[in-house]
Amino acid sequence: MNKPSTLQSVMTSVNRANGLPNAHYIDPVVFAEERASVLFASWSGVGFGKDIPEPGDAKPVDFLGVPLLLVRDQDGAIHVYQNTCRHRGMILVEEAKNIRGTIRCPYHSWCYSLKGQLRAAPHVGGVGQNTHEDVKMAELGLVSFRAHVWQDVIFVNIDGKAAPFEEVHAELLDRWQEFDRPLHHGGPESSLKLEVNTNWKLAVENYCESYHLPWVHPGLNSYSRLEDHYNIESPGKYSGQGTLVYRQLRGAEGEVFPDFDALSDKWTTGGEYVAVYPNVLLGVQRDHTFAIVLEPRSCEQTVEHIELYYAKSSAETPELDPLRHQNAQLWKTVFEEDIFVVEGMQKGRHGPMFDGGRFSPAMDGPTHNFHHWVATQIEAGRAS
Amino acid sequence: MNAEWTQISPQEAAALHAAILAAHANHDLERLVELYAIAADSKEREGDVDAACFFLTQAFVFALETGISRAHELNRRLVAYGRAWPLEP
Ligand code: FES
Ligand SMILES: [Fe+2]
Repeated sequence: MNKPSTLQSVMTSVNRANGLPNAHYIDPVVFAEERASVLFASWSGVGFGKDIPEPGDAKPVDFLGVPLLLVRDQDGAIHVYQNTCRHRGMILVEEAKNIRGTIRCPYHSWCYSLKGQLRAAPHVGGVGQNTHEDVKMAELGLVSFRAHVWQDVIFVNIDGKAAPFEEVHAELLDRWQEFDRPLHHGGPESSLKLEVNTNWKLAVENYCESYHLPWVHPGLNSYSRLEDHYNIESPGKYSGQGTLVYRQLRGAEGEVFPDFDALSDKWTTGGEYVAVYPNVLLGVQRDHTFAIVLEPRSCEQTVEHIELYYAKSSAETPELDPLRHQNAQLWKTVFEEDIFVVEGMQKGRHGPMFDGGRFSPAMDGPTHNFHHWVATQIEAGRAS
Repeated sequence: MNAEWTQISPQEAAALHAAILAAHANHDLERLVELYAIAADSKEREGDVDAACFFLTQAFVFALETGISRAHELNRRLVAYGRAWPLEP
């Protein structure tokens, strides 16, 4: 394939670079290319551990057209299978449910264990005959994707070729190791789902910059000035923003959420908000975290799955339920304030003369860092 | 059901058939295991191994699906007829 020179203008320094060209946001052909080179070739978020809390829980998920089945086995381990029977390709599980024994295909009842092994192929050798010398059970387990759970997000590498998650994200895992603790989801109100008419990348780009805060989130900015924010940029890995003035939410009686254990001083007034490439957005603060999985539905449609987590569960701290409610409302307001910009940037990219845009060298580093990574992935895909 | 009987009557067979259909309709897996096992037992007593193994297979699959321990017993019977691989424990 002839390499469009436009990506070279993305892969230069932020001072001179352009953003990714329009086609990366509005052209279904490029969307398909990014599906393979960017989303399937790296560790993408596809769901949350809290969606399958109990042993035997199974939840089907459509990820860019690939039918996945998220399963928690009897030992508590999470697996991500292709939700397709090895016999005639029937979808195995249509709706989230708890599986007591095995996953039974609804077509001819081949049965798979929660660890993916084929346990029975009834009548495969004729009626009442459950073996056949040419049907090797051990070779017919469910197709299993490499999966890794971090911050309750289930990451999957669809093409199987990415370096291990711990290796790819070693630097971020280290940066945030203080938050590697049990997270307690805040309950139904702490789940938000926003359907947005935008390419998934614009949601990443908007999330990782602080430039827009005073304009789009004046409420946030009233206590958080632009100069209290810093850029986070790790070339080829992740980017985002940090704040030096995180303030805990206080209830009417002055109550606050309990902190995560043993945090260093940095986090007393610190908060960090990072895009874990490609499609996961995380935020950590002393008393709660959040995780967002961007589900690209199509080139111009994205679903944002937002989940809030706390250091202590609602069962342990029922008196804080009203505060959790208030916190969920606050974040909902912030995330909704971003909708018009990501949808507006999407519309703007139908302007044929837009050249990808020119960055603020001081403010747009995190966005450019992401573009550079996307372009690198695409080039690698084209070269292979 | 009386173990002495070698055959169930046509009425009993019809009742069993109806009960199996009802259990399917209700997605009552435990009941399906029970009823298919009864059907298998009666075919076994008639000496109809093929039919017995058909019903044993049905019972086995629903036992596997529900995760009930009876799957192992049903599997052993099928294995004894050379009709299934042994389940690993
Ligand atoms: S397609 Fe699944 S058992 Fe036949
Ligand atoms: Fe924002």
